[in-house]
Amino acid sequence: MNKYSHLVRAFAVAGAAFLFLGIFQAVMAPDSFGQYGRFRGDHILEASSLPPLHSGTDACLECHEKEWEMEDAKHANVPCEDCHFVPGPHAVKGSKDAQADESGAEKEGLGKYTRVEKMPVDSSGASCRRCHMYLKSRPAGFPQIKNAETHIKDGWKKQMGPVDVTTSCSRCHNSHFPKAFTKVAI
Amino acid sequence: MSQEPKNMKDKKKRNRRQFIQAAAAGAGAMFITLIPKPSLGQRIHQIEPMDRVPDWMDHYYAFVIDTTKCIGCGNCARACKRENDVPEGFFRNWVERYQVTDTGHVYIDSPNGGADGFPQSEVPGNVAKGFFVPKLCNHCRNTPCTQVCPVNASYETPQGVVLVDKKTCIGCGYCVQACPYSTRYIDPRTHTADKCTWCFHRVTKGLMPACVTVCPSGARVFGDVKKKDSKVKEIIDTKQVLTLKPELNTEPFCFYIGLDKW
Repeated sequence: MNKYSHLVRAFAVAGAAFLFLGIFQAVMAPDSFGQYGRFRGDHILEASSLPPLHSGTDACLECHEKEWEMEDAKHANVPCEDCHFVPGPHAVKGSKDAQADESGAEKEGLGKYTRVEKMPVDSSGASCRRCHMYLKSRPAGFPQIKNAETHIKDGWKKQMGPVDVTTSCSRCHNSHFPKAFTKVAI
Repeated sequence: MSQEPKNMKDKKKRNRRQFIQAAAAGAGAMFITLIPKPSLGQRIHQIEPMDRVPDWMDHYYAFVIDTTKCIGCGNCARACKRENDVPEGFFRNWVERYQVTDTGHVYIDSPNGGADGFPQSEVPGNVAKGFFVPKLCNHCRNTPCTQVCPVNASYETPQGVVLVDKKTCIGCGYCVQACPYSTRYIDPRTHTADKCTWCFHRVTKGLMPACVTVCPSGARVFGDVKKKDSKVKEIIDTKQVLTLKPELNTEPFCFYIGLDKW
């Protein structure tokens, strides 16, 4: 026995170390650690349960089909939230009874939703220029304005007055139908 | 003393044989540690399916960015900031403008991550070619960032998304250094690492990531490569795609169309 005493001692120390580490990990590791892998299992559910902010064009279409009747329009592929965005909830689901109490909700044709906050519109020229100002790096076929002065046709120049890079595009163009010129230049 | 072998040479020989045997056994034991770890694909199937998210094993996500379609509007960068509450001056998703002159010089800029659009730029020389490259976390299969995390706060989900557990993260910043794509940052409010999650809270609900939702030119495509009819799988299967820094063997799952390598 004496012959192996050094081995016994070594294994005893190793065993004690493993036992200590095991207890240490059991106490220190979060409860759900290792449930699905080497991470805290509950975090997957926490990460997936955050509320989404952007709802996407399809959600807008549930109520605003009329505004979206622009299949042939040049801006049909532009998502609504590029120009219209409200940081909080814009509309919430409500029953028909609840809606009847809301003044005007039914009249405006909001369907099963009740509007909470008005949707702002970013109609500044800057929002147009983010996409349509000429840049050398943009794809060649993409419609871009090289020069605000030469962009405006001569017939319009008198009505438009002085035009520069800060002029709002929506003075002439309808943002939904940019080729339609439904707005009259003032 | 009677037990002592008379021939000392015999004992020495026996001891040498024992020593060689023990050494061989020890060497064999060392080689056990060299047995390759199962790949991520195998590891996915070892993980038990989660009851609360029953279909999480059916998905594996990928991202495709078509740089020939990107118009550099920066809507993705803005939407990402809004959706994920990214602090000022930090970016999970940004757009870089590349301008290559006819003399071969490359000028790259990204003012405020492209979130406010790009101004007219004056680069010396004639720009021969230019394009925009949106950047985000590549959600590598062979992730350098999760491997270095000392507390296992950063991990890959079975869907192929790399996440950071802010409750576990100690903010050592090791992963920020390890990421070759510079997609991680330390959130100055919480002092923990943060990064693009491919909008994990959206994709698990069946929505697209915020940047894909607002992209007007269709330059960003997100999808599930395990679904046979997904657009992202079709692009990866049928088009020429590249990944960023493939030489690092990180196996990114963010694919680019129209990249330019010099």
